[in-house]
Amino acid sequence: MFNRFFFSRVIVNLGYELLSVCRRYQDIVYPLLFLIITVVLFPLSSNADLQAIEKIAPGVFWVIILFLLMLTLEQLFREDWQEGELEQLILNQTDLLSAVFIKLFVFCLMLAVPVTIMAPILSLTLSIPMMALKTLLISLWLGMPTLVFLGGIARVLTLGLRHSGLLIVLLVLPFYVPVLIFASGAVTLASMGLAANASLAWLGVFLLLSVSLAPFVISFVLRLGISDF
Amino acid sequence: MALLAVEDLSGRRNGRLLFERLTFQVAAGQALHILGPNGVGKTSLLRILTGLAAPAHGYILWNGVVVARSPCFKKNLLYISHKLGMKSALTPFENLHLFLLRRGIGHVGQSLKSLKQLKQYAKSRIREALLALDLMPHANTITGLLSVGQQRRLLLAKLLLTKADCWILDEPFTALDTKGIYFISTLIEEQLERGGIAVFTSHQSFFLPKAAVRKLFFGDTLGDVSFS
Repeated sequence: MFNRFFFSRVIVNLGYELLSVCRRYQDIVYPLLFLIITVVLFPLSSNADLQAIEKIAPGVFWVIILFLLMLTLEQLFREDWQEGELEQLILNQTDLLSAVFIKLFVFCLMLAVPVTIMAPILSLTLSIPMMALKTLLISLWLGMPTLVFLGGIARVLTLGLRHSGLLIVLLVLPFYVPVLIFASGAVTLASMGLAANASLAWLGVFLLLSVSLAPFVISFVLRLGISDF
Repeated sequence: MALLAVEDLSGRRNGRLLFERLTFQVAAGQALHILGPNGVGKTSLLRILTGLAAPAHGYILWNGVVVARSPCFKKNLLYISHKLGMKSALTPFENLHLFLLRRGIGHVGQSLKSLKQLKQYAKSRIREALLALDLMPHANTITGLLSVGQQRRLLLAKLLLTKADCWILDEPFTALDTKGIYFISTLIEEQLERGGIAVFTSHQSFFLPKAAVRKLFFGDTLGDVSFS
């Protein structure tokens, strides 16, 4: 696999994945629309007082991110599977691992861009103080790739099914809970003015572990065989 | 030396037993045509042969080595399914470039030094293949926008671009016009002359006069599998 053309294969593959995502731009707009809807609906429907909202705001923010993942994780390998590209990759043993990693990476980017754009606005509507915004963004960039890579494992286990968004999140929920706890903990600490380094460091650990191990698990599951329903 | 041997194979799909105790060999220069009514398990058999699905029982051997443990088989296999097999958001040119890259461009001409030369070599070969298939006018339209017949013709480019000893083709003749059917038949004959193997299913008629084609019939009831 690591012959002298490895880097050129990776770069070309990455370029083509980004190109195909840009050509199917509906997939990028969808997360943005979901976040806009939550931004609009939350202040309209909540008439509790500000103090109460402030206390639960970081948790609510991360639950919104979780719902976003629930809606979009279904798209992760879907077109590749339906078009037969995934089958060809499984048969081509040398490139499965790097292709899986690239697809997950591109999916993270696809979600990270709208979320980064909407994060300030969303934190305003949820009454998260501005001094916590930097920590919020860092926890987003550390936490979301972890959630995506772990969700990829569950996605690949349910590949032949339709409408598997809910099932995917349900499968990985035990692994999501620590990430959610540390991420919302970091934002809570930052909104009180304290340093959140410990929680962010834990998020970093989860990120490193999931990013390095998930592609191997996904390749293994893909090679086991998937049947259509 | 290409030799695909199947021993005591039985396959299931969704819990239903499709075939059992299937044993045959396809030697170099032979083609196997799998026939049968719809839904009887032809596609499942092909998927088990490629290694994408696991059989319920039995082995598949490539040159004497079990397929699951043979990296040599995967390198020498070309599988064309009824699905597209490429990304529909990319153009034919880009899809074939990605395909060549993954296959290891140029089994011939390994003396390419730089990446630029690699890309130019790939481009020239893709251009040749697309010209032979009459797809040059559509070389830069998105594959998802081509007609089904044009997409199936695009899959033939894969057959032209690499040398693989074992071809496993699922309904290669569908959606093609007479010219396309003739073209694939010529390709299969050339593959057999080179000493390769072709295993395919087809409902349509085709012309393979020079080739040694064996037929595997799937009957309507379980176990009704016979050779000619």
